[in-house]
Amino acid sequence: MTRWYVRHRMTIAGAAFVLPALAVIALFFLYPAIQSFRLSVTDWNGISPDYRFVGLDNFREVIEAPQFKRMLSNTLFLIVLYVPVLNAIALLLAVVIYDVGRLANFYKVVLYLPNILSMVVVGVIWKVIYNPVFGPLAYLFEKLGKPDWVQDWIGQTATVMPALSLSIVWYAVGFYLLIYLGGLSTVPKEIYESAEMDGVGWRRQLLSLTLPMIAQSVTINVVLSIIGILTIFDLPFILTGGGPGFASQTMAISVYIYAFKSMQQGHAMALAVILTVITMIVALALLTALRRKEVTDE
Amino acid sequence: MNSLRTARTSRLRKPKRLANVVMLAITLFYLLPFWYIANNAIKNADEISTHPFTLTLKSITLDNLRRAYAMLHFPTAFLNSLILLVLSLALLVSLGSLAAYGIVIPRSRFMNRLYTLLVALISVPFQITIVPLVGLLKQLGLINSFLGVAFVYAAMYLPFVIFLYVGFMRTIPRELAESSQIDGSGMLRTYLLIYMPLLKSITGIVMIVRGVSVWNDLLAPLVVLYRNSMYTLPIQLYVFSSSKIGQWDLVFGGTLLVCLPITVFFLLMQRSFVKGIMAGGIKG
Repeated sequence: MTRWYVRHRMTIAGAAFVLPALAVIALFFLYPAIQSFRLSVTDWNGISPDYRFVGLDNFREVIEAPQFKRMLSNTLFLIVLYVPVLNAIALLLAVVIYDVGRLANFYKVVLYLPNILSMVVVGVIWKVIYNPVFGPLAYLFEKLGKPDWVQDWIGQTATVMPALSLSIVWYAVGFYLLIYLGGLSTVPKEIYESAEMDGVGWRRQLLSLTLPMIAQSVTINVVLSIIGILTIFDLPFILTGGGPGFASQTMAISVYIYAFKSMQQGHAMALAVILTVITMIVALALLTALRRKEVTDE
Repeated sequence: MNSLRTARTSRLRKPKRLANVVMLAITLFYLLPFWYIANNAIKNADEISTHPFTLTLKSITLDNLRRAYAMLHFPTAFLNSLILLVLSLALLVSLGSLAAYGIVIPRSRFMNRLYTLLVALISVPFQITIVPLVGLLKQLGLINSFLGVAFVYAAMYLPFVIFLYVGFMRTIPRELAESSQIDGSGMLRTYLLIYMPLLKSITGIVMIVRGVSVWNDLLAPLVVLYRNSMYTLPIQLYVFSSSKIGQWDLVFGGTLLVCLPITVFFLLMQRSFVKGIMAGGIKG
């Protein structure tokens, strides 16, 4: 016993330091998270101490609800289109800004500016921008002589997801840009000089030099942007509220509506479980796939 | 040789000029919404729709701002946001750095496993906790309490904060801690007197990055704070903008007021912001 204590003395002392943080995480994050999994198979209403087991009823009702299919296709849209486009734009901007010269810092600051605003502010700004009656976009299109382009971009089922995504890209790209710039700053400059000497074009430099060298940043950004987009709430909630109809409904918004608007706690928890499982599977799968790439490319 | 060099630099300079032109166009696209909001916030209501992008001296008015200021209950909301920010950052920095210290110093397998587990939590969506969390806060008497929201943020962001602190603490030579321990000062003193001063810059990064997310967040206060007098700036703007649809002069005024403090702060601290985000990425 005393030997064990002596050997693990440091770990025990360390544990005392970890404990306060661990207690807060356990009580306010882990415990409610586990409760959600447990209670998603009951008819608990969020308040009363009594509840009974209802099996997978909540899950079945959530999946059979009319908006579920739409939510799935929106999730797919965000993973397959939004994430690659966002990362491509951020990477291209980073490569351009990296050796653009004196104005680099100005560009960084401007592109990061939306990111420090509340998503409520960003949502209100884009709501105004897209307003078809007097919004600035409509005004510009009128001036340019393109009245066909004056449309209710966020009020139409066909255009709401791209329009919403554009506003999120405007908001988010600065963050991912800075992470790519951080990655680029670790790449030795000589590589580019010798590539330049050998007459390698910029497109090939980007694809077969830069990209493998900053594979770590790519991994971070792809995983972070997946988690970010699947759980984003404030901005779409303000801008479209999931509408028109269910056209831009995401699981993150729907969980809130189930829990606090229609007071269907069981449905909220079942959907939160589905969202969590999807997010973690996609994030984990991409992490493993990209990490493997990092190793072989090095 | 000389001619070769000039040929190369001229070839390099040309795309650079092109790059600057493209970047300036993108910058314009980024700044236009800001200009649009700002100039309309201080313009007569009836001129907003007739010329939305131009501002003449004659049409300037502070009336929108004044009315929005009153309707947002700006001073109260600002103070509420500030209280919440201070509480949350105090919890995040103290608990986060302590925990990281406890993880790094022992160099044991147990602590490394615990650390991996904590980092994995970063990818768990907040939504999974939301329903039982509100019930739990009610039981603990933490509904309608800034401390309640601060605990929610602490639990949500601590894994990331610990992750940042651990990354930087591992770069501090351990001899430093060991030698001070021989001198008879305990682990807590080593943490306070040696580690924390060395970690000043990372503490700054944590406060800036997480401070901005706490200051701007809508969801957590929305589900925990029900009393009007406790509303934070984002909630006030949300309520205000959804009830004042059509009265755009007021919406612009309110939006500008809510943006202003954090934008000024960002412009003053821009170097730390840029450095902080980039460093966070490299360490990961």
